[in-house]
Amino acid sequence: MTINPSPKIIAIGTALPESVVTNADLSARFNDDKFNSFLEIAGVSERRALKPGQSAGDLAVCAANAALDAAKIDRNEVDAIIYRTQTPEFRIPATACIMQDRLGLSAKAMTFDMSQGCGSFIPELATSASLLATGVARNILAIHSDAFSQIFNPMDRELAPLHGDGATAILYQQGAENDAIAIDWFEFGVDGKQYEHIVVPEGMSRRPMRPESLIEETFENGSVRAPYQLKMNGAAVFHFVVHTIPPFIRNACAAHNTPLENYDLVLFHQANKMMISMLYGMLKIPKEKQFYFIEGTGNMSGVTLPFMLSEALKAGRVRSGSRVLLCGFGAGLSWGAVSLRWQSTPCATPPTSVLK
Amino acid sequence: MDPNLAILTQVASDILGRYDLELTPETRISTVKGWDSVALVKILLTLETQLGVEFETYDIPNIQTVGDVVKMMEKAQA
Repeated sequence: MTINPSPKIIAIGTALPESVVTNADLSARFNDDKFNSFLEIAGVSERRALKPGQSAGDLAVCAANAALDAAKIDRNEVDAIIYRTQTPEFRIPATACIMQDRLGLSAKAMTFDMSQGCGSFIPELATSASLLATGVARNILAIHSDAFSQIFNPMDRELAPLHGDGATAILYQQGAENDAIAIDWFEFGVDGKQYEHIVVPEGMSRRPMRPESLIEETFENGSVRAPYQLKMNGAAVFHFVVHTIPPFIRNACAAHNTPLENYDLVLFHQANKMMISMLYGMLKIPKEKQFYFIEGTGNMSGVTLPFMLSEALKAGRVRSGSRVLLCGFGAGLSWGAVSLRWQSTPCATPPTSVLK
Repeated sequence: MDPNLAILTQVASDILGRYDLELTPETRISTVKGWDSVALVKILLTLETQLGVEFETYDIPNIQTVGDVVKMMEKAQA
Protein backbone atom coordinates (compact mmCIF):
# COMPACT_ATOMS: atom_id res chain seq x y z
CA MET A 1 0.00 0.00 0.00
CA THR A 2 1.19 3.54 -0.63
CA ILE A 3 0.06 6.87 0.71
CA ASN A 4 -0.31 9.88 -1.53
CA PRO A 5 0.06 12.68 -0.66
CA SER A 6 2.69 11.85 1.92
CA PRO A 7 3.33 13.65 5.19
CA LYS A 8 6.28 15.74 6.21
CA ILE A 9 7.91 15.62 9.61
CA ILE A 10 8.70 19.08 10.92
CA ALA A 11 10.22 18.13 14.26
CA ILE A 12 11.33 15.12 16.30
CA GLY A 13 11.85 15.66 20.02
CA THR A 14 13.62 13.06 22.16
CA ALA A 15 13.92 12.62 25.92
CA LEU A 16 15.74 10.32 28.33
CA PRO A 17 15.65 10.05 32.11
CA GLU A 18 18.68 11.40 33.93
CA SER A 19 19.20 8.26 36.00
CA VAL A 20 21.63 5.76 34.45
CA VAL A 21 21.89 2.01 35.05
CA THR A 22 25.33 0.83 33.98
CA ASN A 23 26.58 -2.67 33.24
CA ALA A 24 28.62 -2.45 36.43
CA ASP A 25 25.40 -1.81 38.35
CA LEU A 26 23.81 -4.88 36.77
CA SER A 27 26.85 -7.10 37.22
CA ALA A 28 26.83 -6.25 40.91
CA ARG A 29 23.10 -6.97 41.05
CA PHE A 30 23.28 -10.35 39.35
CA ASN A 31 26.82 -11.32 40.28
CA ASP A 32 27.66 -14.23 38.01
CA ASP A 33 29.65 -15.03 34.84
CA LYS A 34 26.66 -16.20 32.80
CA PHE A 35 25.15 -12.78 33.17
CA ASN A 36 28.27 -10.92 32.12
CA SER A 37 28.44 -12.82 28.82
CA PHE A 38 24.83 -11.91 28.15
CA LEU A 39 25.65 -8.23 28.66
CA GLU A 40 28.28 -8.41 25.94
CA ILE A 41 25.89 -9.92 23.45
CA ALA A 42 23.16 -7.37 24.20
CA GLY A 43 25.50 -4.58 23.11
CA VAL A 44 24.20 -2.25 25.82
CA SER A 45 26.63 -0.31 28.02
CA GLU A 46 24.08 1.73 29.85
CA ARG A 47 20.39 2.32 29.91
CA ARG A 48 18.22 5.02 31.51
CA ALA A 49 15.55 4.46 34.12
CA LEU A 50 12.92 6.70 35.64
CA LYS A 51 13.35 7.67 39.27
CA PRO A 52 10.60 6.85 41.78
CA GLY A 53 7.76 9.32 41.35
CA GLN A 54 8.45 9.84 37.64
CA SER A 55 6.32 8.43 34.84
CA ALA A 56 6.56 7.69 31.15
CA GLY A 57 4.15 10.61 30.75
CA ASP A 58 6.71 12.96 32.30
CA LEU A 59 9.26 11.79 29.72
CA ALA A 60 6.70 12.24 26.99
CA VAL A 61 6.08 15.84 28.04
CA CYS A 62 9.83 16.54 27.79
CA ALA A 63 10.05 15.11 24.28
CA ALA A 64 6.83 16.77 23.14
CA ASN A 65 7.80 20.20 24.45
CA ALA A 66 11.12 19.88 22.67
CA ALA A 67 9.38 19.06 19.39
CA LEU A 68 6.68 21.73 19.75
CA ASP A 69 9.18 24.45 20.68
CA ALA A 70 11.55 23.48 17.85
CA ALA A 71 8.69 23.50 15.35
CA LYS A 72 7.53 26.93 16.58
CA ILE A 73 3.97 25.83 16.05
CA ASP A 74 0.92 27.39 17.67
CA ARG A 75 -0.16 24.68 20.10
CA ASN A 76 -3.79 25.39 19.31
CA GLU A 77 -3.11 24.23 15.76
CA VAL A 78 -2.33 20.63 16.84
CA ASP A 79 -5.54 18.82 16.00
CA ALA A 80 -4.53 15.20 16.66
CA ILE A 81 -2.56 13.65 19.50
CA ILE A 82 -1.48 10.03 19.17
CA TYR A 83 0.18 8.47 22.21
CA ARG A 84 2.03 5.25 21.61
CA THR A 85 3.01 3.28 24.70
CA GLN A 86 2.85 0.03 26.61
CA THR A 87 3.25 1.90 29.92
CA PRO A 88 0.33 4.32 29.94
CA GLU A 89 -0.19 6.76 32.78
CA PHE A 90 -3.33 4.87 33.81
CA ARG A 91 -5.34 1.97 32.45
CA ILE A 92 -8.10 4.52 31.86
CA PRO A 93 -8.14 7.18 30.39
CA ALA A 94 -6.02 7.32 27.25
CA THR A 95 -2.78 9.10 28.03
CA ALA A 96 -3.21 11.19 24.87
CA CYS A 97 -6.00 13.04 26.70
CA ILE A 98 -3.71 13.81 29.63
CA MET A 99 -1.06 15.04 27.19
CA GLN A 100 -3.58 17.51 25.73
CA ASP A 101 -3.81 19.18 29.12
CA ARG A 102 -0.16 18.94 30.13
CA LEU A 103 1.06 20.32 26.81
CA GLY A 104 -1.56 23.07 26.51
CA LEU A 105 -2.91 21.73 23.22
CA SER A 106 -6.22 22.35 21.53
CA ALA A 107 -9.38 21.21 23.29
CA LYS A 108 -10.65 20.19 19.84
CA ALA A 109 -7.86 17.70 19.18
CA MET A 110 -8.59 14.07 18.28
CA THR A 111 -6.85 11.89 20.84
CA PHE A 112 -6.09 8.19 21.07
CA ASP A 113 -3.50 5.78 22.40
CA MET A 114 -1.80 2.97 20.51
CA SER A 115 -0.26 -0.08 22.16
CA GLN A 116 1.69 -2.17 19.71
CA GLY A 117 5.11 -2.66 21.17
CA CYS A 118 8.48 -2.44 19.56
CA GLY A 119 7.13 -2.39 16.01
CA SER A 120 4.58 0.32 16.63
CA PHE A 121 6.27 3.24 14.85
CA ILE A 122 5.37 1.72 11.48
CA PRO A 123 1.60 1.51 12.00
CA GLU A 124 1.70 4.88 13.72
CA LEU A 125 3.39 6.46 10.69
CA ALA A 126 0.79 4.81 8.45
CA THR A 127 -2.01 6.12 10.65
CA SER A 128 -0.59 9.65 10.83
CA ALA A 129 -0.02 9.75 7.09
CA SER A 130 -3.56 8.52 6.45
CA LEU A 131 -5.13 11.07 8.80
CA LEU A 132 -3.28 13.86 7.01
CA ALA A 133 -4.01 12.54 3.52
CA THR A 134 -7.74 12.32 4.25
CA GLY A 135 -7.83 15.77 5.80
CA VAL A 136 -8.99 14.49 9.18
CA ALA A 137 -5.97 16.18 10.76
CA ARG A 138 -3.58 18.92 9.71
CA ASN A 139 -1.02 18.92 12.52
CA ILE A 140 -0.41 15.64 14.31
CA LEU A 141 1.65 15.25 17.46
CA ALA A 142 2.62 11.59 17.77
CA ILE A 143 4.26 10.87 21.11
CA HIS A 144 6.02 7.62 21.95
CA SER A 145 7.03 6.93 25.51
CA ASP A 146 7.84 3.74 27.37
CA ALA A 147 9.21 3.07 30.84
CA PHE A 148 9.89 -0.66 30.87
CA SER A 149 11.92 -0.18 34.05
CA GLN A 150 8.55 0.05 35.78
CA ILE A 151 7.10 -3.18 34.42
CA PHE A 152 9.86 -5.77 34.59
CA ASN A 153 11.32 -7.29 37.72
CA PRO A 154 14.79 -5.84 38.46
CA MET A 155 16.00 -9.43 38.88
CA ASP A 156 14.78 -10.54 35.46
CA ARG A 157 17.98 -11.68 33.76
CA GLU A 158 16.61 -11.34 30.22
CA LEU A 159 14.92 -7.96 30.51
CA ALA A 160 17.04 -5.95 32.96
CA PRO A 161 20.16 -5.86 30.73
CA LEU A 162 18.27 -4.96 27.58
CA HIS A 163 15.69 -2.32 28.24
CA GLY A 164 15.91 1.40 28.86
CA ASP A 165 13.29 4.13 29.23
CA GLY A 166 12.86 6.90 26.68
CA ALA A 167 10.46 9.07 24.71
CA THR A 168 10.12 10.77 21.34
CA ALA A 169 7.58 13.12 19.85
CA ILE A 170 7.03 13.73 16.16
CA LEU A 171 5.15 16.63 14.60
CA TYR A 172 3.61 15.77 11.24
CA GLN A 173 2.03 18.04 8.70
CA GLN A 174 0.65 17.41 5.24
CA GLY A 175 3.42 17.63 2.70
CA ALA A 176 3.38 18.86 -0.88
CA GLU A 177 4.81 16.91 -3.82
CA ASN A 178 8.42 17.98 -3.45
CA ASP A 179 8.21 18.74 0.20
CA ALA A 180 7.24 15.49 1.90
CA ILE A 181 8.48 12.09 2.86
CA ALA A 182 7.84 10.05 -0.27
CA ILE A 183 6.48 6.80 1.09
CA ASP A 184 6.95 3.89 -1.34
CA TRP A 185 5.17 1.26 0.67
CA PHE A 186 4.14 -0.13 4.03
CA GLU A 187 4.01 -3.85 4.76
CA PHE A 188 2.86 -5.54 7.93
CA GLY A 189 2.75 -8.95 9.54
CA VAL A 190 1.27 -10.50 12.65
CA ASP A 191 1.17 -13.91 14.33
CA GLY A 192 -1.13 -13.72 17.33
CA LYS A 193 -0.56 -17.38 18.15
CA GLN A 194 2.87 -16.38 19.42
CA TYR A 195 1.67 -13.57 21.70
CA GLU A 196 2.85 -15.28 24.86
CA HIS A 197 6.53 -14.82 24.00
CA ILE A 198 6.23 -11.17 25.13
CA VAL A 199 3.43 -10.66 27.61
CA VAL A 200 2.35 -9.20 30.92
CA PRO A 201 0.34 -12.26 31.99
CA GLU A 202 -1.92 -10.86 34.70
CA GLY A 203 -3.67 -7.64 35.60
CA MET A 204 -6.05 -7.09 32.70
CA SER A 205 -9.21 -8.67 31.31
CA ARG A 206 -7.89 -12.15 30.42
CA ARG A 207 -6.50 -12.66 33.95
CA PRO A 208 -7.52 -9.83 36.26
CA MET A 209 -5.29 -8.73 39.10
CA ARG A 210 -5.51 -10.92 42.20
CA PRO A 211 -3.31 -11.29 45.29
CA GLU A 212 -1.35 -14.13 43.64
CA SER A 213 -0.44 -11.81 40.76
CA LEU A 214 2.06 -10.11 43.06
CA ILE A 215 3.85 -13.25 44.24
CA GLU A 216 7.39 -13.47 42.91
CA GLU A 217 8.76 -16.78 41.61
CA THR A 218 12.38 -17.66 40.96
CA PHE A 219 12.79 -19.54 37.69
CA GLU A 220 15.40 -22.12 36.69
CA ASN A 221 17.48 -19.55 34.85
CA GLY A 222 17.67 -17.46 38.00
CA SER A 223 15.20 -14.80 36.86
CA VAL A 224 12.69 -13.53 39.39
CA ARG A 225 9.26 -12.43 38.26
CA ALA A 226 5.68 -12.02 39.42
CA PRO A 227 2.70 -12.60 37.12
CA TYR A 228 1.88 -8.89 36.94
CA GLN A 229 5.33 -8.17 35.48
CA LEU A 230 6.59 -8.31 31.90
CA LYS A 231 7.73 -11.72 30.73
CA MET A 232 9.72 -12.41 27.58
CA ASN A 233 11.06 -15.67 26.19
CA GLY A 234 14.20 -14.25 24.61
CA ALA A 235 15.15 -17.39 22.75
CA ALA A 236 11.73 -17.70 21.13
CA VAL A 237 11.64 -14.04 20.13
CA PHE A 238 15.17 -14.19 18.73
CA HIS A 239 14.38 -17.33 16.73
CA PHE A 240 11.17 -15.78 15.44
CA VAL A 241 12.84 -12.57 14.33
CA VAL A 242 15.74 -14.14 12.46
CA HIS A 243 13.36 -16.48 10.64
CA THR A 244 10.62 -13.96 9.90
CA ILE A 245 12.22 -10.59 9.20
CA PRO A 246 14.74 -11.39 6.44
CA PRO A 247 12.20 -13.10 4.13
CA PHE A 248 9.63 -10.41 5.02
CA ILE A 249 12.02 -7.68 3.89
CA ARG A 250 13.17 -9.55 0.78
CA ASN A 251 9.59 -10.30 -0.26
CA ALA A 252 8.43 -6.73 0.35
CA CYS A 253 11.32 -5.27 -1.65
CA ALA A 254 10.66 -7.70 -4.49
CA ALA A 255 6.92 -7.12 -4.51
CA HIS A 256 7.34 -3.36 -4.66
CA ASN A 257 10.37 -3.36 -6.92
CA THR A 258 12.55 -1.48 -4.44
CA PRO A 259 15.81 -3.46 -4.39
CA LEU A 260 17.52 -3.61 -1.01
CA GLU A 261 20.77 -2.38 -2.51
CA ASN A 262 19.10 0.91 -3.48
CA TYR A 263 18.57 1.99 0.12
CA ASP A 264 20.98 4.45 1.71
CA LEU A 265 20.12 3.31 5.22
CA VAL A 266 18.28 0.37 6.79
CA LEU A 267 17.06 0.88 10.35
CA PHE A 268 15.92 -2.00 12.51
CA HIS A 269 14.25 -1.83 15.89
CA GLN A 270 17.18 -2.22 18.29
CA ALA A 271 16.13 -5.38 20.12
CA ASN A 272 19.70 -6.43 20.92
CA LYS A 273 22.96 -5.97 19.07
CA MET A 274 23.59 -9.61 18.23
CA MET A 275 20.16 -9.97 16.66
CA ILE A 276 20.51 -6.79 14.60
CA SER A 277 23.97 -7.79 13.40
CA MET A 278 22.52 -11.11 12.34
CA LEU A 279 19.70 -9.41 10.42
CA TYR A 280 22.12 -7.13 8.60
CA GLY A 281 24.27 -10.15 7.77
CA MET A 282 21.41 -12.29 6.52
CA LEU A 283 20.19 -9.46 4.28
CA LYS A 284 23.76 -8.67 3.16
CA ILE A 285 23.40 -5.01 4.09
CA PRO A 286 26.85 -3.39 3.97
CA LYS A 287 28.29 -1.56 6.95
CA GLU A 288 27.80 1.90 5.46
CA LYS A 289 24.05 1.30 5.33
CA GLN A 290 23.78 -0.01 8.89
CA PHE A 291 22.96 2.05 11.96
CA TYR A 292 23.16 0.94 15.55
CA PHE A 293 21.69 2.85 18.44
CA ILE A 294 21.45 0.66 21.49
CA GLU A 295 24.70 1.01 23.39
CA GLY A 296 23.82 4.15 25.35
CA THR A 297 20.09 3.69 25.73
CA GLY A 298 19.19 0.03 25.58
CA ASN A 299 16.11 -1.28 23.84
CA MET A 300 13.47 1.43 24.32
CA SER A 301 10.65 -0.62 22.84
CA GLY A 302 8.47 1.40 20.42
CA VAL A 303 10.48 4.55 21.12
CA THR A 304 13.59 3.08 19.52
CA LEU A 305 12.81 3.54 15.81
CA PRO A 306 11.82 7.24 15.91
CA PHE A 307 14.72 7.92 18.30
CA MET A 308 17.06 6.27 15.79
CA LEU A 309 15.57 8.33 12.98
CA SER A 310 16.28 11.51 14.95
CA GLU A 311 19.84 10.41 15.67
CA ALA A 312 20.41 9.42 12.05
CA LEU A 313 19.19 12.87 10.96
CA LYS A 314 21.49 14.57 13.48
CA ALA A 315 24.43 12.50 12.26
CA GLY A 316 23.69 13.31 8.62
CA ARG A 317 23.01 9.66 7.84
CA VAL A 318 19.54 10.64 6.61
CA ARG A 319 19.40 13.68 4.33
CA SER A 320 17.11 15.12 1.69
CA GLY A 321 16.53 12.38 -0.86
CA SER A 322 17.91 9.54 1.28
CA ARG A 323 16.19 6.22 0.64
CA VAL A 324 15.47 4.67 4.01
CA LEU A 325 13.96 1.36 5.06
CA LEU A 326 12.67 1.13 8.61
CA CYS A 327 11.60 -2.16 10.16
CA GLY A 328 10.08 -2.79 13.57
CA PHE A 329 9.07 -6.04 15.26
CA GLY A 330 8.00 -7.16 18.70
CA ALA A 331 5.06 -7.86 20.94
CA GLY A 332 2.06 -9.49 19.35
CA LEU A 333 4.05 -10.90 17.75
CA SER A 334 3.87 -8.22 15.10
CA TRP A 335 6.15 -6.61 12.58
CA GLY A 336 6.16 -3.97 9.89
CA ALA A 337 8.32 -2.02 7.52
CA VAL A 338 8.17 1.23 5.62
CA SER A 339 10.16 2.26 2.58
CA LEU A 340 10.55 5.98 2.07
CA ARG A 341 12.60 8.76 0.53
CA TRP A 342 13.37 11.54 2.98
CA GLN A 343 11.88 14.99 2.48
CA SER A 344 13.63 18.14 1.34
CA THR A 345 12.07 20.17 4.15
CA PRO A 346 14.42 20.45 7.11
CA CYS A 347 13.24 18.54 10.16
CA ALA A 348 14.08 20.10 13.51
CA THR A 349 15.90 17.65 15.76
CA PRO A 350 16.64 19.46 19.01
CA PRO A 351 19.13 18.01 21.51
CA THR A 352 17.77 15.19 23.64
CA SER A 353 15.98 16.53 26.71
CA VAL A 354 16.81 15.03 30.08
CA LEU A 355 14.15 14.36 32.68
CA LYS A 356 15.79 15.20 35.98
CA MET B 1 23.94 -42.78 21.68
CA ASP B 2 20.92 -41.41 19.87
CA PRO B 3 22.24 -39.75 16.68
CA ASN B 4 20.34 -36.51 17.37
CA LEU B 5 21.69 -36.40 20.92
CA ALA B 6 25.17 -36.87 19.52
CA ILE B 7 24.71 -33.99 17.07
CA LEU B 8 23.28 -31.78 19.79
CA THR B 9 26.15 -32.61 22.13
CA GLN B 10 28.69 -31.69 19.45
CA VAL B 11 26.95 -28.41 18.59
CA ALA B 12 26.50 -27.48 22.24
CA SER B 13 30.15 -28.28 22.94
CA ASP B 14 31.29 -26.01 20.11
CA ILE B 15 29.04 -23.16 21.15
CA LEU B 16 29.67 -23.40 24.85
CA GLY B 17 33.37 -23.98 24.26
CA ARG B 18 33.28 -27.03 26.49
CA TYR B 19 34.23 -30.53 25.44
CA ASP B 20 33.49 -32.23 28.73
CA LEU B 21 29.72 -32.14 28.25
CA GLU B 22 27.88 -35.30 29.18
CA LEU B 23 24.34 -34.65 28.08
CA THR B 24 21.46 -37.04 28.55
CA PRO B 25 17.82 -36.51 27.62
CA GLU B 26 17.10 -35.84 31.29
CA THR B 27 19.76 -33.12 31.63
CA ARG B 28 18.10 -29.85 32.58
CA ILE B 29 19.49 -27.03 30.48
CA SER B 30 19.55 -24.67 33.44
CA THR B 31 22.15 -26.93 35.05
CA VAL B 32 24.59 -26.76 32.13
CA LYS B 33 27.17 -24.05 32.78
CA GLY B 34 27.05 -21.40 30.06
CA TRP B 35 23.80 -22.61 28.49
CA ASP B 36 21.68 -19.47 28.80
CA SER B 37 18.99 -18.16 26.45
CA VAL B 38 21.61 -16.73 24.09
CA ALA B 39 23.44 -20.05 23.90
CA LEU B 40 20.14 -21.80 23.31
CA VAL B 41 19.40 -19.57 20.32
CA LYS B 42 22.86 -20.14 18.89
CA ILE B 43 22.51 -23.89 19.36
CA LEU B 44 19.08 -24.00 17.74
CA LEU B 45 20.14 -21.88 14.77
CA THR B 46 23.24 -24.02 14.25
CA LEU B 47 21.20 -27.22 14.42
CA GLU B 48 18.76 -25.81 11.86
CA THR B 49 21.60 -25.03 9.47
CA GLN B 50 23.30 -28.37 10.01
CA LEU B 51 20.16 -30.44 9.65
CA GLY B 52 18.52 -28.29 6.98
CA VAL B 53 15.36 -27.86 9.05
CA GLU B 54 13.42 -25.09 10.76
CA PHE B 55 12.12 -25.47 14.30
CA GLU B 56 8.76 -24.16 15.45
CA THR B 57 9.29 -20.96 17.45
CA TYR B 58 6.21 -21.94 19.41
CA ASP B 59 8.02 -24.97 20.89
CA ILE B 60 10.98 -22.99 22.22
CA PRO B 61 9.51 -21.75 25.52
CA ASN B 62 8.79 -25.37 26.46
CA ILE B 63 12.46 -26.36 26.32
CA GLN B 64 13.58 -27.38 29.80
CA THR B 65 15.78 -30.42 29.08
CA VAL B 66 18.20 -31.71 26.50
CA GLY B 67 15.52 -34.27 25.66
CA ASP B 68 13.15 -31.44 24.72
CA VAL B 69 15.66 -30.22 22.14
CA VAL B 70 16.15 -33.76 20.80
CA LYS B 71 12.36 -34.08 20.42
CA MET B 72 12.31 -30.81 18.46
CA MET B 73 15.05 -32.18 16.20
CA GLU B 74 13.04 -35.36 15.62
CA LYS B 75 9.87 -33.40 14.92
CA ALA B 76 11.62 -31.13 12.45
CA GLN B 77 13.16 -34.06 10.60
CA ALA B 78 9.93 -36.05 10.42
